Amino acid sequence: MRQSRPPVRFSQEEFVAKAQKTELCPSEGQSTKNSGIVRLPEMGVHQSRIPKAGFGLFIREEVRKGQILTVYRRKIISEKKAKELKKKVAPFYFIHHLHLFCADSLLEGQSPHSRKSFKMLLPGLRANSYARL
Amino acid sequence: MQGYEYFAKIHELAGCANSSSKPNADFVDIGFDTVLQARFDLKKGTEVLTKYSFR
Repeated sequence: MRQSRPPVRFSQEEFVAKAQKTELCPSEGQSTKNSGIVRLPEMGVHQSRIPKAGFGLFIREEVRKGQILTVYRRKIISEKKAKELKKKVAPFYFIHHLHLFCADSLLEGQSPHSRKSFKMLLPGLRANSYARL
Repeated sequence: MQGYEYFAKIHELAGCANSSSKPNADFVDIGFDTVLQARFDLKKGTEVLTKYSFR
């Protein structure tokens, strides 16, 4: 019986980002509870445990309630563009991953080729991603 | 294209956090950034799940 192969993007490769520190700056009037320098835990990305969900984000160390896991930078776009996109997609299209996979130096234990192919597989992680969707 | 696969693709693009009815993390806006914050104490190896609302 012929068996179909899983898509290449669902291979068991794991991409790892080391624990790191980042600074959060709340806007005026926002709670200062999460301000200042925070430590992001070590995280890994590989195939999700949810069927058909693609890649999943996995914690590689114990995490406490309220701890910040990842940071995304929201992108500033025009109101017109926002309305156009909101008709088509969910609001979280307006953010992109700031710390986890933006810099090659954060990826550990992967060949340069793997890094390249990973970026190609996840174009949404690029800064100008939404414009290409 | 509004089926399950469409939303699955969005999860992937959103930075590898998947949607679930039992989320263990939440998106919180802080200044220019949006952070993913743990809702509970989480063990090593746990997959990050967030409840997205598709509108």
